[in-house]
Amino acid sequence: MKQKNVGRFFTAPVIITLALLALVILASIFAPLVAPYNPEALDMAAKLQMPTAAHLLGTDNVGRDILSRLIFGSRITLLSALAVVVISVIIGIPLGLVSGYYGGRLDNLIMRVEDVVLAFPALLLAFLFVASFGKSITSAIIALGIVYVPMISRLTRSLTLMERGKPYVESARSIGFSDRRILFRHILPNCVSTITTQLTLDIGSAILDLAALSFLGMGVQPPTSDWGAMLEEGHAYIQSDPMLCIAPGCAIILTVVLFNLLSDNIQMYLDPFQRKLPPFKKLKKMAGGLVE
Amino acid sequence: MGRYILKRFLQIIPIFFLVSIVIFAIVRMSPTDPVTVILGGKKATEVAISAVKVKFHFDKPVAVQYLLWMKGVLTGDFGISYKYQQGVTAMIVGRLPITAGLIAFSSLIGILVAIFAGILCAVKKNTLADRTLSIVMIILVSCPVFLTSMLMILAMSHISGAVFTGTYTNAREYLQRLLVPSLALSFSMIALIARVTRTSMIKELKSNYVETAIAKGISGRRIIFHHAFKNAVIPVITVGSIQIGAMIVGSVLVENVFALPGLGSLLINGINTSDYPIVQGITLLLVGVFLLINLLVDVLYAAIDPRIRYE
Repeated sequence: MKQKNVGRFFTAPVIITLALLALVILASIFAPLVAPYNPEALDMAAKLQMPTAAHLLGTDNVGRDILSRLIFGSRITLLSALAVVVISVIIGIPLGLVSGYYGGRLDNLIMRVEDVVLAFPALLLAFLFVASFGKSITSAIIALGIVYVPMISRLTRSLTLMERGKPYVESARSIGFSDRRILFRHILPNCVSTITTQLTLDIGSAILDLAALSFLGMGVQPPTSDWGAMLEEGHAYIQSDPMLCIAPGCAIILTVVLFNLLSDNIQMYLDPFQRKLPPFKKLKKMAGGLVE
Repeated sequence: MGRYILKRFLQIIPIFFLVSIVIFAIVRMSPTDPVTVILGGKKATEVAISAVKVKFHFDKPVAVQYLLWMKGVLTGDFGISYKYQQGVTAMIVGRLPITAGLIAFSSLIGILVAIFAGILCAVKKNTLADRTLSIVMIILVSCPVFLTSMLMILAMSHISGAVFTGTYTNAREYLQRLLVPSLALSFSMIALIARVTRTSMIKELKSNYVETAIAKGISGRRIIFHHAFKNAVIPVITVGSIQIGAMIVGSVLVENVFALPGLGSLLINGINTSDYPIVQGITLLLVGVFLLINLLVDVLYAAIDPRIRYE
């Protein structure tokens, strides 16, 4: 792997992006310390308040503090987005490595199975899963994880195809290393940087997709709530009390923008001269998660 | 060309059947007993239950049930809804105009605005206008479509007399209902396609043939649209076609927010009430449409770039 000057990656926009992301993540980890109120505490006397000094983002229809609910909601939103990406990585990367390295019939079989998953437009397969296996955040996460597998797997496959002809793979093979060792210790490390770009983007799409599922009532179930569920609760009050929607909406937009910017910057850093078009797979993935 | 289309079409058929098996299998794995759904959860006599089982073919093996369903689908009969006890086909046909219109209008708005904005950004690269538009695009990309829709409702509520939810009775009302939701749905498409158009156009505008054209004294507009854009269009089509898949799901969300009687709201309703004939019918239909759109795009590629045909 070519040595790169890491210092060049940390330009001003990247530092700002990372700092803001760190802020979001720290706030969600230390939610009980940061949040001014208990997110479940009802206060009917103070319901539907506009932002005040006591409630920085106002209160919702049963008097819960919106800021505190946002901070606690970020835990579920971020953790489940991470879980989706982890599932897709655990299944997708080995599939991609095997299918790119061995080729032939196995590759063909894996590709055809993934074709079936890809035939479903975006979230539709996730809808079907949730419809059949029950509405819960767990089935939403598993469903989305499976929907994300083909993208990661195909990206890994195309990277493996490029790597497998290189001399270092041949020499590793002639030394007598096992295929597993070559795949995971030699080829995979050379693909990791490109895959990371994709994964950063995937976390952003996963946040959007999970929010969409929660919004349709197929994700988190009450009393727990995430940003998508908060939007769903706010839906009825959009005309009278728009703050109920705007607060979680801005939280989603901000977080996803940060992940998108980070991904853009990683990509620019990895490929500063040839950056003309994002690779096809990346665009495909972006498109998959965008509309939600 | 004809052979190419036929070849691509034949490739789609096995995928379609595999998808139908997947859909059928996932729905059958549900722990909910369809008989209870059909009888509305009421206590029923043995006779009534067995009558239902015969009517919906539950007395036959699963493989036979699948074949009966597929036979129906191929002849245009999607079965009978558990909850409404009427033909799913009729329900789908009644709701098709909203969804089809929504996807068509928003794609049209999206493509036109995006290509214009993308070309503008590419020509005015690194100016204030370009930077501003790029920031707007990245925010639009990250904005969930149901949030855009709700904000649109909020904005429209300040305009008196604007009606954009519910059913329609004539063509004028139909267009009125669809205008605002289509706009909301088109935003993410605008953002994505504009970004791709920009990068693709910048690359083409740097190339040698554009320089030659400038040297020959051809007008700027002609160079942009006749020379550069023609070459920049392939990635734009790719992203556009993928985006249509996202539009299909996006329309489900938009219909939900605007309370439009389309396929999406029927699908969500079907999921909520465990009305599986509706769920499997609509899912299969949407997958079929998506596969056909992909086929159309492949044909479009081949028409634009003949090399693809011989791959």
